[in-house]
Amino acid sequence: MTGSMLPSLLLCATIGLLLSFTTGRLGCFALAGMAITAAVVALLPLPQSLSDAILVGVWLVVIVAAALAYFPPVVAQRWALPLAVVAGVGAGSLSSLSGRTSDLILALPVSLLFVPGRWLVAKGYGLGNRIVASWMIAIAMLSTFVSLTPTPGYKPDHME
Amino acid sequence: MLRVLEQMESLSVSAPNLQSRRPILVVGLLLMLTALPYPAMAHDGTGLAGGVAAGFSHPLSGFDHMLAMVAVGIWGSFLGRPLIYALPILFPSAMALGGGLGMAGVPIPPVELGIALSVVMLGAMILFALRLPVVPAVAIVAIFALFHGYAHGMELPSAADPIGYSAGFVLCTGLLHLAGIGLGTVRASRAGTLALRSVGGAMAMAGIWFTVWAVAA
Repeated sequence: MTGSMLPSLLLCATIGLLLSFTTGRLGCFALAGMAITAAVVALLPLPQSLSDAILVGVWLVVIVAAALAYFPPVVAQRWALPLAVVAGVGAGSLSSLSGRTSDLILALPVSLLFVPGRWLVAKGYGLGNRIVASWMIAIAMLSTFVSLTPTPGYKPDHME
Repeated sequence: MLRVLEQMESLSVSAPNLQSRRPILVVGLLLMLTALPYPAMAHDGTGLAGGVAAGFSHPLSGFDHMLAMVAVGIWGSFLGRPLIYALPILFPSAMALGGGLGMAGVPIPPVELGIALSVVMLGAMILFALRLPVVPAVAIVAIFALFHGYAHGMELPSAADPIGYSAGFVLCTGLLHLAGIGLGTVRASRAGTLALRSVGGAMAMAGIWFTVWAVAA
């Protein structure tokens, strides 16, 4: 039982962290772009054969988005919108493949993390966001390695 | 249950009329036991350790891992900026890289020995309040993080829900670093510094014990 819930949650949380280094206006646009893209892609019927590739793609987006948190805010602002849209494609694809729209509905609001994140950055505590971003990178790296490694944990169990 | 039966036995001595009813009482008691609530265990995982909770508790179950994580935070507080935040940022990524090496089966020197030595070294750094320059400090922590990650990486593929498991233990690792940094705040006072250096000494001693154990194994 791998599920799409946790990858979607972590993806949205990472985008939220990245957006905390942008302006509020750009953050809102990026969030809207992500939500619309995710909703549209979630409605598309995707072949199950793409699931591994999409999962790896999602983890790569998490790594890139989290790594951008270490660059000057100008870089985050330049890449925030395109990355948010790509993240929307990823979250929507995961939802479409799992057939559980509820995962997407629960995951998307997590990107609102950018609101307290922006407050922290404005108060000079952006370091906290960067530390959490490093955790995201580690989780995404490990998950990518696991995705590429044949493991008993990924074999379908009796509930799948 | 045995105590109840013994009490019944004593009752039967004092009251002979109960002796004939004993089988009925035993059956009645057994029936009462079946009415006790007991949670059903059906579908309780797949028999493999996994999930966020299992991953979160994993670093806490290994004393060597836990000491090393806390020691990174405490040493970071001794080193000051920028290493106080660079080390907790670097450690998870280096650990994940080590995890990848572990999953790929890339051979590295004895992992348990590396982990034990990390506790000795980090404890000693705190004990002697060593303030290394950025590059050597980062290199030391990154190398030790590789060993810790390697150990986790070897276990991770056999976990059910490996993503949840990795999320749990990365989160716990990060929080242990933060706990170490939090402990490091007592360094502001002279007594606090002394206490922290004593803790470092105790960590180094524990590390020596882990090393002996790892060599003997």
